[in-house]
Amino acid sequence: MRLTPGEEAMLSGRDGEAAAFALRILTQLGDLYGAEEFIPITQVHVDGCCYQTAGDAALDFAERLAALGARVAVPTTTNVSGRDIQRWREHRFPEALAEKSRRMEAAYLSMGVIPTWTCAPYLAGPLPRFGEQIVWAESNAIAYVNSVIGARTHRYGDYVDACAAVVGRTHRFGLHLAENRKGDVLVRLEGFGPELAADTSLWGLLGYRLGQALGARIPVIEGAPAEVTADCLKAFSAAGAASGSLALFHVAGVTPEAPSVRAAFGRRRAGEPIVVRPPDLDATRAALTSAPADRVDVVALGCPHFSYQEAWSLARALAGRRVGDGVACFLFTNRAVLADLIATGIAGELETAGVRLTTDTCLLHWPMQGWGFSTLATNSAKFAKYAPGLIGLSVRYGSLEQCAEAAVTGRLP
Amino acid sequence: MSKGSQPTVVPARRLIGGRAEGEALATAHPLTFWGGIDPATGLIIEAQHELLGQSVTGKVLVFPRGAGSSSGCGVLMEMLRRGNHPAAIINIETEAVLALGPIIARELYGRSFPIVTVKPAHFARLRTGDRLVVDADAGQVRVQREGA
Repeated sequence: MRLTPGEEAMLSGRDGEAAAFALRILTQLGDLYGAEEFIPITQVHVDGCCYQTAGDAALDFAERLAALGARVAVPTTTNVSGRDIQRWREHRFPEALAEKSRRMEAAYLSMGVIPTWTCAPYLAGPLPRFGEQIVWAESNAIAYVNSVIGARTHRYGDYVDACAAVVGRTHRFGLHLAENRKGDVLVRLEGFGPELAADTSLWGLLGYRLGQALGARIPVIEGAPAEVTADCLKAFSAAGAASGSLALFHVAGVTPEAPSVRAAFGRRRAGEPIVVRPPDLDATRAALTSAPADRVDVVALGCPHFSYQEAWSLARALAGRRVGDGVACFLFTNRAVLADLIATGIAGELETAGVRLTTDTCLLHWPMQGWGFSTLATNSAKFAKYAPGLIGLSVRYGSLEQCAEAAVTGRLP
Repeated sequence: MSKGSQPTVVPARRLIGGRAEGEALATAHPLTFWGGIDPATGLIIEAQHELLGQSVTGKVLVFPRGAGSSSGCGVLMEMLRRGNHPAAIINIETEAVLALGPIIARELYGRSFPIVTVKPAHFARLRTGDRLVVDADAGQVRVQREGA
């Protein structure tokens, strides 16, 4: 890589040991990427702060950076912690694991991060504007911020994010460059009704299906209702990034880099389109449904973390009814959304209904021993993908309204 | 090549430098690190993989490319921390996020291992049980003795 005189000085320790450490790692990585130079960035979302992801090596990395005196150079938000920092004791979370999580949190806090502890950083903390160069890790957040907001981030993973935060730079390559952001393949939605404007579970299925089919290609989606909600695009982002490597998508007439199909492709050629019809999504729903019977004992909502609108919709769907005996209903969100829910009385309604409001983390990181759960109901394709392997629960998949019914009745047909 | 002949030398592109030797553990299928290898044991745990149950520790791990989550980097770091890591990796193509594992582990633990890529035709000649010397700095892989 070509370094500026300032970067050379940083590498030799002018700005402290932590900056030299971080830039040394980024420079080696840049050589692997084939990047030639760095560009400045305006913010970072770090995803390396959940202890359970890589264990002690991840903690060693964070504590080394902290011990070297690292401070973030740009506003930097944090992805989920391994635990709900306030309520972990209510979640039967083991003491030893909580201590590792606490050390991880402390290491990042010492660097001056903004402690959002959320996988939905587009719902808390500083938001980038269209075209801004940023480094976000956490796959759903990458797809959302690239596509729906139009800020520019490559598909980053753990540790690169923290190094970029410390030096305030990233490699000039990949999705940071306009020429790499055009569409590769047309996706045509056919035969859907108006439900496609607001049913997040349909968009989860669509994202899951396309994530598997697309590989590294950038899709341009045609045929979506112009009034499709942000929550639908959030569900799509999470599902496509979980089943594949979706990092940027365009929805014609909806997302900012796609005023039209033609504009989204630029000079690239569309090639053979992918057509998706309602029966295709039924097949994806069947593939994600790992539980044979309709009986469920835990309902998990908020993967990615629930928005205000989603929590409000849940309160409305429950309509004053209570979560049934023998069913636990968890709502995962971040503290910013929870503060709004409390301020407007929705949190109280949900708690009265028996919904357990949880922040900073989600169920996928909890050791499940002792709960006795066997079957999970969710409206999230990402939860549905990971729950069987990570926490040993089989899954029923449904819309938010169906999950609300499941919370009350213990059944998701 | 028959036994007793000159060792075969395969040209290789260095991604992570260093020199290592060991017995090859080879597969034609992509390998998943996050959720596919248990860093505590070095064992392959990916249920559908032909190498399920095999240990990667000390082996020259030969697979075409990685699959799955970008957290694979952390799995390599944790294996290097525990000393369960492979002796070297040979790919056809290597995702940068995987190569980041040895880069960071070198900073943290002073431990690393070479990663090289080879052409598909050369890749196809490497078999489980081969005794390999991976010399990333010299840009070559030597097959010292062919496996059974």
